[in-house]
Amino acid sequence: MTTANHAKLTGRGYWRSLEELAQSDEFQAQLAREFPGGIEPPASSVTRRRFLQIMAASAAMAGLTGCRWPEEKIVPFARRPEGFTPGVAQHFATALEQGGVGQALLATSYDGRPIKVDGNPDHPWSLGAASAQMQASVLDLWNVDRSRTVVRQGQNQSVTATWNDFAEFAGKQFEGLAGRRGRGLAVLAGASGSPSRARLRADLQRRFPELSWYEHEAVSDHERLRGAERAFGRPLRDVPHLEQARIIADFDCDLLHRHPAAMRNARMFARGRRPVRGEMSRIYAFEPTLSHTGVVADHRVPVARTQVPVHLGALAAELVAAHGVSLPAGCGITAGDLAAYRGQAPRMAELEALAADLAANRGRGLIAVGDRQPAGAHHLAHVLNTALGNVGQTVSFEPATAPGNGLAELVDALGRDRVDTLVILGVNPVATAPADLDVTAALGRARTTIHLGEHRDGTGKLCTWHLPRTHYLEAWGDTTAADGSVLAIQPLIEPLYDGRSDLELMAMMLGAAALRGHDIVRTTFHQRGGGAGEAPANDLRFEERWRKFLHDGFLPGTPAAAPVLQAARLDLPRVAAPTAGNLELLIAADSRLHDGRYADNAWLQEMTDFATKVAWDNVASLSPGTAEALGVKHGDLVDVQWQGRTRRLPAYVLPGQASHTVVVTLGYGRQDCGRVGQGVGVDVYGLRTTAAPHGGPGATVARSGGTYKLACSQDHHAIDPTGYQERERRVGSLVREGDLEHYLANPEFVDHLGIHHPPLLSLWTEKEYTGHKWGMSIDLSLCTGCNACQIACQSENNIPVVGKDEVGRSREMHWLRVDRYFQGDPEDPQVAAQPVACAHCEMAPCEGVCPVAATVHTEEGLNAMVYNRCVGTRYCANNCPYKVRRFNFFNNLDDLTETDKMRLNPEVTVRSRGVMEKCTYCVQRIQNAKIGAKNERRPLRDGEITPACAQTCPTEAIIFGDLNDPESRVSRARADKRSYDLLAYLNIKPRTSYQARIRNPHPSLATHDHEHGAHAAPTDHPTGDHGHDDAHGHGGH
Amino acid sequence: MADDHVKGSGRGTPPQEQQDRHARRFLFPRWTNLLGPISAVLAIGGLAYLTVLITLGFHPRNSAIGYAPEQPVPYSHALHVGELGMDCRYCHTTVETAAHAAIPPAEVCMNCHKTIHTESPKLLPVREAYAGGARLEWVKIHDRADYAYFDHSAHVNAGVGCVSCHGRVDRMEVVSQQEKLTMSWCLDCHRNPEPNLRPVDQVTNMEWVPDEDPAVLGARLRKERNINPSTDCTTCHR
Repeated sequence: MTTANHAKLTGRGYWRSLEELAQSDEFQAQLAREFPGGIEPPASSVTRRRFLQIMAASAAMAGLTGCRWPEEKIVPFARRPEGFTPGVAQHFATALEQGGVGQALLATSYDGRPIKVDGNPDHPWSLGAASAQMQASVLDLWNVDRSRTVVRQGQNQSVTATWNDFAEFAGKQFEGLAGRRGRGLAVLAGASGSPSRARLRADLQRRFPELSWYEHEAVSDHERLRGAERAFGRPLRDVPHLEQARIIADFDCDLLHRHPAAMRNARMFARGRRPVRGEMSRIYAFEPTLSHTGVVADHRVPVARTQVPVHLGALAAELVAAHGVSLPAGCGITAGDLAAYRGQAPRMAELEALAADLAANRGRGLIAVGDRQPAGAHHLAHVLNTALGNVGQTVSFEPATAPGNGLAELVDALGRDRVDTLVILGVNPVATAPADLDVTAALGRARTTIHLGEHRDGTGKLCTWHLPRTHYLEAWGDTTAADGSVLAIQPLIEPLYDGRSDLELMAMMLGAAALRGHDIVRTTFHQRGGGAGEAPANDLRFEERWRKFLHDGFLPGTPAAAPVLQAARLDLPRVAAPTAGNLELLIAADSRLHDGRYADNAWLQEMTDFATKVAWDNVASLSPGTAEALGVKHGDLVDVQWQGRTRRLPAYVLPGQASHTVVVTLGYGRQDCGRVGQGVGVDVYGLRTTAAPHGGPGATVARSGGTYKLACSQDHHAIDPTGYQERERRVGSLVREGDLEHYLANPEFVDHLGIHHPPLLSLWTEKEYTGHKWGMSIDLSLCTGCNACQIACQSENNIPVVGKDEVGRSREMHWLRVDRYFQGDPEDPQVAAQPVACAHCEMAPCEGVCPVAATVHTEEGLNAMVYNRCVGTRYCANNCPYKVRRFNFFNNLDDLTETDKMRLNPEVTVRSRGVMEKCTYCVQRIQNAKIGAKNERRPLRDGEITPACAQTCPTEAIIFGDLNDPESRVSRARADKRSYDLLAYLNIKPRTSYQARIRNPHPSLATHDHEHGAHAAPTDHPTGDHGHDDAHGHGGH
Repeated sequence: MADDHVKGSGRGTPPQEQQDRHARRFLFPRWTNLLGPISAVLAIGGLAYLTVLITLGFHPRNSAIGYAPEQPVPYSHALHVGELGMDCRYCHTTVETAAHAAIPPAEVCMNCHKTIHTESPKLLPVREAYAGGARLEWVKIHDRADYAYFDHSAHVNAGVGCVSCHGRVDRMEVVSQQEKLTMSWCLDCHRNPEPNLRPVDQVTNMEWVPDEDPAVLGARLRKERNINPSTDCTTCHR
């Protein structure tokens, strides 16, 4: 692709990938084919798909006991637990820890089997939302490759042992260590906000005064904590209150996704983004690569990671010099310090607008800085927020623990032979250590190493003892949420594989091997309430509080007092901006696998990254201009070299990434996990160093020769493959956008963005829907593209995973996909996200072409799929204009192991090979809610039925309800002027409609190439003869 | 094409022989005379085969009706319900609130059998289960396909009596299946529920007979309670 091409195409409307923008041969070829991946499965495709089937041989032998179907047994409880009804799902509040911060969850248990995880709707910092990772964590519980037994390293080989063997060993070992005051004892753990762990750690320090404690998180928030420490004298976590913020400045923070309080942030952000009242918040994002906050930002500026502090400095200078913001007295930063940064950012227009906005909205603005930014940037943000009066309004603070010793210190101590016994609690330093730390060698220097882990991973194999660890859904525990509330972690099932929790191992170290997690957490709770000693066994008042804690899942925290700024000088690192000859490497946490902890999670592996739309791989992403300068094309293998270390990855040309940067993500290329993640992608931990965990300038990228096939879904399911030119002009009508000002002046503009068509007449007498009339509305202003809905759907509806090869053939099974569209300049595009699932068209085109009536309409207007009738012609998928139907080319779920079957949702039929499937609007939930209401002899309430996608959506962008109820939320959403139907001119009457995306640009910056919203797309095309004027005359659009 | 043919035939084949060959090409070979009788035999045989297949295939003996597997405990509904007059809901507690009517836990049996027939060898498995031993494994009798979702509570609360689907359980020493439980059987009632409706308080009454014309009562109950069973696929298949 040439620059000339870019220039020519710039501002042409929407595009989904650079191939599409450039009209490459491959894209043309793909459009021409009915099945883009070809229909014959090559021999190699079976390997990954088989991973679950291999284990199923035993299961397949069951049955065949006669002509009647197999005899089924009913095994009732001997004593049924109180309040338990067989076959009715129960919900338990629990929590998941990520990077030391707890996320409040609600786990669904079906007959004792945890099958789904959602956000805890009662917790103010979850509000029922859960990210894709949180929801997918339930799959890890059922992972058949989890560690099952204690393993002891013998002389030459490892031997299977039991917990009793270990207890015997541990009793003696720790007794001996206690006698030596714990000299030589070290613990390596992950970050945690668990009060129980803190209590046991204190107990350990008492028993072993010389115990050394190390914490390792590959993706840490240490700079955030250090920044707060610098500003306020103590480590604090900033807690945003976006509902108060009118101006949000996101400096590489990703408030709506990566931030520890992202779930609440997203919900509160959504409150300020409904343009009905004519008021909207405004978001500015400065970020090195496309984040979910960047997707919804009104102004997004691609900035290399190292240049973000300079931008923040330039903003501060602008605020002080141009808007007279006075820095707090005694904060240690003077206007003179900042003067040097004035005008230093390459794109000052956005910063000037932001400064003006922040100055005009004192107390209603927020400056947020991300974890991978240096402490000095956090410090300056705190100073600015204080100066603008935002502290206490849009941001508050919660106490945190200061980062202590980490992996580097441990390796050093091991190297000096200061560690004799090392206990590793659930972390995997061998796989996640930076390149300059030789953990493998260091571990060999300790006499005894004890590893507690869910997998016998690289670390587990090196340790003298490996102990199976419980999944969080099997163990008792507690943690602290972003707002300081204490969360309960309660088990939903007995440990599947004889595991123990971190807390229970710590109790063993304390010589209390019999102590179970439940008692530990209970005692902590008791002591937190002011009690002393053990939790009482039969104190009713205590019992009441404890039960309430478990029921609600949390104990509200007490708001911390507003911190006071202390003097600290400005410390904004100034790094030379990357250039073509000096690329900057960014090593980022992966949007799916995080630091690699989810590498063995098939749902997350198959979920595409929102920016790249790549599944089952990590890539080295480059901006289009950078790639062109390097002569690198999409899919080329490139050698990324940094500080003398090289990794070979497939290149991905990502519009909107900062120029002259290369971004690689962690967590892939694991060689030590289960069958799902083994060897998927490329391990880039080897590029990291302790000093520079996020990479930095001085990287080189060179083509290594050869290309790599990526399973990239971005051109899958292109709508209207037969008429691509037509589609090109229609796409502006698929994702409709406009500016707030334009919308307020002319709310009807959304209609005009569609294809103008004569009044639509039907050939048939259309059906009247008199009962319920289910419908959905999706607000594109709120969709961040976070994929939470996709995983919610997968979890709820037993959607199979098909593996990389099948995804590469467009055979992914997700009922709900999240499309992303770029618009404008490839170096600095605007981005829009659009979830698309079956729209349950009233005049469904799929139904007419089915020769066996396998897809039919119900009285309530659902487009039902009758699996038993389906003979697999796939005509329906061919005739579906939205391309939302999915075909089972294989028996994806039939051959699961008995363990794997337990995770399936019994409310949803498991589909077999040769059957078409698609979104059902979660018909099982509709039916159960209807039955519940009928049994109580009352009408259904609005909001009673929530499909899985809508339930989890962090921004509540998806609304479902009855269109025949004029007061329902979905009816009101569809009555909104922003509401439009996708491909309405086909007269198929979809039940899912969209609300146009409204951007709120700063007036001084609103002169983007789509001045009148995306109006340009349908009207400016060269062959605009499609009855435009006529249609206006009829007014039939 | 024609030119080629002429050219080819002109290469030394005598015209007479050529004509014979042309004529022979359009004659059926002799063996085809057998096709007539063969098709007749096949048609008659096939018809007979189909008749037998359909008759036997749909014979009640080959449906699930009458399926009465041996259970781990020889529990008699005839004794407990018929003679002693226990209500269905004493054991099947969740029938009004949940999809499953739920087989009772051993605890429920022991409510009485702690004091009655405490030594009965027939009850040994129940006592063992209650004491924490091997659990009772009842054999499922009314076993729908897994893709059909039936909800007891929806039917019981609409006034469909237990007896409509389960038959006179109060007379069964060994429980057996009484109805076909096929989709067409379900649809018969979903299309015309009136004959199977009764006052909700009589749902578990095995001996209930309407005081009035059943058709009138059914129509009235249907109207009163707004019972409009759906015949959409998604009602039972999810």
